[in-house]
Amino acid sequence: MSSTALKLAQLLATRRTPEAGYEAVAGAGANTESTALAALALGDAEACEWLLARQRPDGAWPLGDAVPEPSWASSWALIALAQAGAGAEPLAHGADWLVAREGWRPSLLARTIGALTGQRRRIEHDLALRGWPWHEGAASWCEPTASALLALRQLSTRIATPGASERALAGERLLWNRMCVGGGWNYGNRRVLGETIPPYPDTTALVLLALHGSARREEIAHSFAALERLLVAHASSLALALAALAHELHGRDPEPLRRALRERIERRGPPSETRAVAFSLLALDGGAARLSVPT
Amino acid sequence: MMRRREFLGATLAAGALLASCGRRAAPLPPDRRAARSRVAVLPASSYEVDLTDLLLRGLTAFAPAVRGRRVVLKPNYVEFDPRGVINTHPRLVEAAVLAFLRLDAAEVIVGEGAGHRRDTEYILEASGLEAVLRERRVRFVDLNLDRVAQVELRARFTPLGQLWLPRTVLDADLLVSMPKLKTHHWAGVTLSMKNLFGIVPSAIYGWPKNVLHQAGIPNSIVDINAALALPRLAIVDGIVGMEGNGPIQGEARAAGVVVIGDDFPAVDATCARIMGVDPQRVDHLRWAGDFLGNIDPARIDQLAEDPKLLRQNFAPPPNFPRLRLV
Repeated sequence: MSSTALKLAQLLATRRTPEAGYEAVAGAGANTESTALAALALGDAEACEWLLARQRPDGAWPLGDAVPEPSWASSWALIALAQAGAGAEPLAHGADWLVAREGWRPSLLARTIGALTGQRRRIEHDLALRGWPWHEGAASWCEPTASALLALRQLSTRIATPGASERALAGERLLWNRMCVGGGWNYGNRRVLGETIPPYPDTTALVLLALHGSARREEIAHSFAALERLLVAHASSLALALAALAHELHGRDPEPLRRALRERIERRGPPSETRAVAFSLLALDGGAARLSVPT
Repeated sequence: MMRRREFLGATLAAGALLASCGRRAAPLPPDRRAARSRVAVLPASSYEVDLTDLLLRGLTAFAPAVRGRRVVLKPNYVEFDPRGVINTHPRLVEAAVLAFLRLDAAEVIVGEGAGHRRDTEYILEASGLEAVLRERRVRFVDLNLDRVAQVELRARFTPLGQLWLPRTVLDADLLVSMPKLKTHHWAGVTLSMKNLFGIVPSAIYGWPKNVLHQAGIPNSIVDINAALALPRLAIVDGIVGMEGNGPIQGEARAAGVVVIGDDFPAVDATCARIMGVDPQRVDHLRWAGDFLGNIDPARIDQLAEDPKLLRQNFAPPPNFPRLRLV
């Protein structure tokens, strides 16, 4: 492990609670996403136990100990547990929940009225597509759809989940539909009120990561080109880490991005959020394989 | 009757056509309006003037009880775009930090929960706020990731019932909303009331905070503001504002003012008038004016400059053509 990676691992360790959960930032209390990403990055078996102990009766995971509602972070719990070789039962239960979860969609009648009244021209994406929301009852957005897609693709090697492949395809369709003009992704709007909304580097890299192995080579190439442009102006630790991971999973050379990430961390210190620390550690310490799926 | 803006806000923001069909205004909570409100409109030609001194002069009228207390500043860092003027200027945030420390606040914290990007490190660094925080040794709390408590909503403009809100805000002795003076393509204007969307944690409600969109943007603005019982103050960055397709993609518009007050609807109504916007045509201001604060100019004492003399006609957002103050 390089000295930079060691620093990141040491920082992650400071975020570990006595119960082996991890906090998003110091003092925030353990949450599912941070614990899952730390478990992935560190191979922390006790963190996986923390996750298993918190799976809800419906198969989902809460956001954290303080907020019991089923959450988008379930995808990361499933990815971490699948990588850790957890038993089939919690994975299957979680996958069933994930397959059933979808973002709010307007009814056919509402979509028709929207088309007739010109409302749909204000937000130019297909509202009928089935992705994943951040919150129960809300619409689908790029990041929760990307993480759910990655989880279902990873789980497909371990368990058979009815409806999983159809849901994964639906999620993929949504991501392509939300791709920004010229490639890349932001939170999930390509155009609003006729204005083009630009992509974000971290979201672009995360979606590319979830789509590795896709046959849509032209869109993938455009999005990597967009990512490269975005990183010139916006090279946060999180963006560099996710970009390095996406490059590696798509068979591109991640080394320049790893170097930039190492230099940034050495220059200004590690990022503060556990998520960024964990992705940085995964990027610098050969962790991309833990996010790969069969293609 | 269903309110038109309620319909449009929920529909357009979430892409959720007809989501709010049939929603009706609930009975109003108790009237919290003061007999009269005061709003200070302070001319400021640029960010290079002594903003700390300006704020101290403006704050004198409100005498906020901050000695030995914890003050939480909530500027607008919803997003960053190097081409735009989305954010409360870091120099004004810095000036507010210095002003409250000079008034003997025990601690001044800057808190924000960005609504679009998860990459807070980027927003802070690129916007220049990080440099200010470091230089002044100010603690920043990412409100998207903070510890939370469930808060019962006192008004019922949305069907949400409760919201999880960050402890840093709920435990503050004084919450200072520091918005940018902007038009907003779903809400008409975004000022001290709308700025409180940023206290709603995205880790729970998402990037964007789509739950609030689907519940109706103006409705959510009123419910969030009505839910908070803590003392509050608004400091609006109108030195350079945004007109047209705000809050992200509008154009810069120099208005040359900082607006201060402790009644958010009164502050926002005053700012709206400076922008040439009729507050009665902005749903959340009209609704808030029924119980939460004063928007009637006859009940607002304008301190310092007369906003009528500073009025500018900001270009309205593309889907709000009829906001203009007559």
